[in-house]
Amino acid sequence: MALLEVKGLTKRFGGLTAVDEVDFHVNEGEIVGVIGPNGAGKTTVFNIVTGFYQPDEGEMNFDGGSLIGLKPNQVAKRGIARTFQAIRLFPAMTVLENAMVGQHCRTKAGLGGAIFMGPRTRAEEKKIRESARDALAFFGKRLSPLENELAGSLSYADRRRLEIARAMATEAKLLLLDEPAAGMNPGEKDGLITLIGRLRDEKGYAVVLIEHNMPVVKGVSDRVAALDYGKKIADGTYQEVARNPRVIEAYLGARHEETA
Amino acid sequence: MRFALPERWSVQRIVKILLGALLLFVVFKGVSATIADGKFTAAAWKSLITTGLALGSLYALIAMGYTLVYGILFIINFAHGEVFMSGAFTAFFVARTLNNSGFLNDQPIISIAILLLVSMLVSTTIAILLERIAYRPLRGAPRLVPLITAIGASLFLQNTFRGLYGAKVRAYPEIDILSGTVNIFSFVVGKDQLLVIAGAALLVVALYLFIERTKTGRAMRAVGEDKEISALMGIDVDKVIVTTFAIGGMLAGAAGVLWAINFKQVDFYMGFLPGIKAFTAAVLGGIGNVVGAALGGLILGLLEGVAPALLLTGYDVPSPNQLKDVISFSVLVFVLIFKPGGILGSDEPDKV
Amino acid sequence: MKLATKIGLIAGVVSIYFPVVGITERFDDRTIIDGVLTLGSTIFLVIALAAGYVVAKPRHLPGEEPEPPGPSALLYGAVASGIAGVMAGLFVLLADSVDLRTVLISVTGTLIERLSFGGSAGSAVVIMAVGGAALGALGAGLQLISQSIRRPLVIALGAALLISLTEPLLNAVIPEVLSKLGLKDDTSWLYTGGGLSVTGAILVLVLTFVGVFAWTSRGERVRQAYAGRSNRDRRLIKGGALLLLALFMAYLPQILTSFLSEILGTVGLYILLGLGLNIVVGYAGLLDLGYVAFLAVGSYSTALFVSERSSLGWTLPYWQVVPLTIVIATVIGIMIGGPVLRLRGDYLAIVTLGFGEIARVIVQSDWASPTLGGAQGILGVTAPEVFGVDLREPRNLYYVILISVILVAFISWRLSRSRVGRAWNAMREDEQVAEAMGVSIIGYKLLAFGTGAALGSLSGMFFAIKLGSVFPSSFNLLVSINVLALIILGGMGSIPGVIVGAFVLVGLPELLREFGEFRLLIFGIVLVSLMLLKPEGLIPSRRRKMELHADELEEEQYDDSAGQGGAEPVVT
Repeated sequence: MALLEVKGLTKRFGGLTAVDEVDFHVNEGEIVGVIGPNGAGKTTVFNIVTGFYQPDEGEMNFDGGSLIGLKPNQVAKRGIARTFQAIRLFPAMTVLENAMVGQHCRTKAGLGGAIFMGPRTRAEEKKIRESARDALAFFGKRLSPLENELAGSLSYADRRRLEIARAMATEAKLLLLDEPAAGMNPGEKDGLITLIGRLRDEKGYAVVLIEHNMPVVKGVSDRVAALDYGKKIADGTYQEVARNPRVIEAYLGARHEETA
Repeated sequence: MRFALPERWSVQRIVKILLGALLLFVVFKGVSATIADGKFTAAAWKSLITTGLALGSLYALIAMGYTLVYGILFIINFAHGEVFMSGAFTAFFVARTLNNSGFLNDQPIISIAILLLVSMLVSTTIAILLERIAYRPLRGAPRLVPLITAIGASLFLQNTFRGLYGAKVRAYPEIDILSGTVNIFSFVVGKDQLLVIAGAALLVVALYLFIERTKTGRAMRAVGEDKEISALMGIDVDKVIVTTFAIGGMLAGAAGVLWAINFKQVDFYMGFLPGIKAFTAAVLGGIGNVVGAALGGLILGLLEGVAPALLLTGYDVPSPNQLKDVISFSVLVFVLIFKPGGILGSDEPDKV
Repeated sequence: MKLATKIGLIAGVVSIYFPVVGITERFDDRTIIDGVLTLGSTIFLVIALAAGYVVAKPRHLPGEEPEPPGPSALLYGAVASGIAGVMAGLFVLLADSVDLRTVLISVTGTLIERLSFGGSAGSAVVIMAVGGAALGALGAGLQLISQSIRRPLVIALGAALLISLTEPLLNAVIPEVLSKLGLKDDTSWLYTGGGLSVTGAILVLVLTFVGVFAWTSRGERVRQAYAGRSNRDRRLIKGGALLLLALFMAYLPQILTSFLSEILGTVGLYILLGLGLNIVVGYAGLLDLGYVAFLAVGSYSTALFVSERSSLGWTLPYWQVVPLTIVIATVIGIMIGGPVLRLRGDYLAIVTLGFGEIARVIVQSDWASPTLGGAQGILGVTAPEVFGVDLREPRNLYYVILISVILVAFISWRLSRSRVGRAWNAMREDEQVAEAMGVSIIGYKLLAFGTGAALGSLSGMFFAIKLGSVFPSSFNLLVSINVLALIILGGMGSIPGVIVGAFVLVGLPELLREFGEFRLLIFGIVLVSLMLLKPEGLIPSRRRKMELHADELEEEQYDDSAGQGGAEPVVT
């Protein structure tokens, strides 16, 4: 059974249908690339799945339950975590604290716990710290040594990494990565391909990846879906989608020479 | 497969509906009790409405300054009430001099024009200085920072004018041609109130045309949309912002004189409450929106004029007029609960 | 030269401003150095010096080496302050010949006489111009000497001013201390005539200068030694310092006059309020301009339950009143917060401001007066005994407040480094992302609002007991602004910042009673200049500093509105 199953998803903004009856699914441990020109509705799909927008029509089921009507924090608790296209960290919190916020939905200490710091809270705080450090450690020597630096002072690529680490710290089953390769140089992009592969292979995450960069999509995706004008126009392996005439017309056509 | 989603009945929504029902019930009960009581005559209601309208026009005029500045810089110019006060207070001394020489009642129209000119000049100067000293260096800072500056500037201006002109409440001289009343559609309107309402209406319409029709107005709107792109399009952003403050100051100055004509007194503290009320009016109408601010001002003024009597008398509340501020702020809260963008504002959810 | 003229004109306007609003005349009653300098003339001195100093400041393009100012700077400084002096002098001349008093009430005959230095108004122009020029050159000269001397010098001048201004405090404390130490309680070597004596001034200047000079050369090593210590050692040192401070605060009432203890109590209340609001504004980023409402709720509910003359007709023992009041305040906080917390940042500010006003208007109204006493308030709030401690005794109340401050500071500190605190911080930084990480925005906003309300009501309780009565006029907007300002002054989100902010904003003005109606004016100047010069506050938390100074670095990635309640984050 699919981990995430979306059917007939539709979202309108005034007269504009940003997402138009989109169907797709993600299986456990699978990496799905989502491609499409700017304004095709990719990020809107993410926003609907993560609860920032409510769909006008359609069904979304995740891990045996519906996502309809859930708020973003409830979606996070169900096990979906995301990153943002324009990196959005908590710049004035430390690297470790950023990751620790990710643990929020898996823990429950409240006001009383914070004030009295009983054994339960202490244990939980320790667990939060350890899980956050684990998530940072996934990036080798990149983030761990910087754990006490403020997130805002990180380099661009490290911020991207920290965003992924923060999403990992939520102990999600499914990661939604919104253009993780944006602004990276070729070397960093190669590293990213390996990294996303490792997310699946070592940690067992399912990943949905919005990406404009075709080598990255090609490098990691088990399957690819293409959107245009809010509609899904193709679905399948990278080769199949890349050969699909509608996709070439909508998207690759203009950029074929530079990407292929 | 295609089907409509069932309506979402979240807790929030239920609370909202219950709250709305409760509110309607309370209002209905109070109003019907007041009307059944019959304590107020039709003439009394009409007089309350005129008072409210005059007050509302003044709120609307001051609210322009808030809404223009917010529309462009997204800051609450908390010191705008003081801009209003500075003009009115300064013009008082001119009025007194004119009155002592007898010129005020010999040439009332010229005199009022002089008063308006002085008041607008002072208010505009203060508004421009405020922008230059207190706000311009802070562009791009987190929003809390200019707000604090605004509070500081407000205290500073209030007490500066107290130091300059004294803490006494000063009585504005009477202008003979403005005493007495006229009958309009069976409403007895004071001539001073008429001047206030007509003057404010004229100025608001002029402002609206200015923003919609002129090149500067277009530039203002453009800067409100996106400062950087406007700058790239060859708009001098600083100049536009100064113009915005100047226009706000001018209108506040005019409002100052009209206020003094209507209420016949000025002091250094007179800007505080009208300032807050005018901001409330701007938010009520949908901040950033000129028409909304005008509408919000009128609604707020009318509410303050009529609502205490209409609503609270029904509940036998003693001296209901004391609670008029409670009503106006409550209305603000309720409007924001049910329509977060204000009456004419948009309610689009925040972009992600 | 153009710059010198410009700054001279500004300085001229400023130096006319002070006499015109009446500050000069009022401040002339305050001695800075006995027989030499009054506060009023100090202002002129500072303006003239500062104008020269600013003009001579080396200017350079980014990336270029600053050119050390040459002797020509002296000339420019003299020109700037000379212009200011001429302007001030011309003003005196004008005021002498035309009667400005009918409009500008502060321009009195005495003022003109003083500004003319006893001579004619014409001579004032000459004196001010020459004096200004000399001072301006002196100010410019400050730029010429090396940093290692300039800094201690400026600090020493500031210290002298501060020590002189706090004369009412220190001149009461020092004799006590001296007599406790078995010395003669004579302070005339330091203070005479309500300010520093000439010897005192020289003493302070020399000591501070030497002290600061030594610290700048040696301090670095001390700091390094501290940083080199292990985490545990550092924590011990910090804890020890805090303990010492607490012990000192506990000992303080023994040596203070009752007037000063009273001020300390007031400062304590403001610290409590500040800590409470700090959670709402500093931690959770919710701008609350109506915080005074919770002070009112705390005060009134205490008064209602404690006073025999309240409308209830019965009283409760005090130990029951405390939790009851906190519960009432929290419930009211949540009731108010519930509907409005979804609003965008600025709207929240104005709505809370509205609530603050509503609270005041309601308690003042005839409608509520049968219950709340209207404008007369509620009298007879007897300070009861708690565990055998009589709270009527101001000293005991001081201790209770002190303990509460320590307790609340501890709670704040614990919260700031807990899961809850992190959630608040995340929410403040970026509401939507925090939500995507699982933080329930409404829940945590309510939590912050409720906690703030509970802490605010705590100070309300002490407030009622301290005054023995409650009046509606105590709960005006200015209290909210004061509390907000002290947080910002100290540095948002910083606990020591709140404490320092309360001392500076509440304690100092209480000591400077002579400033009277100018307190708010100065307060306004302080707020504006602080925001322009050091928006992160005096003792910033590390986060806050980052937030305010990183934007040059961050601009392309972070929308400036994203940190403020996600108003319109234009992010795709």
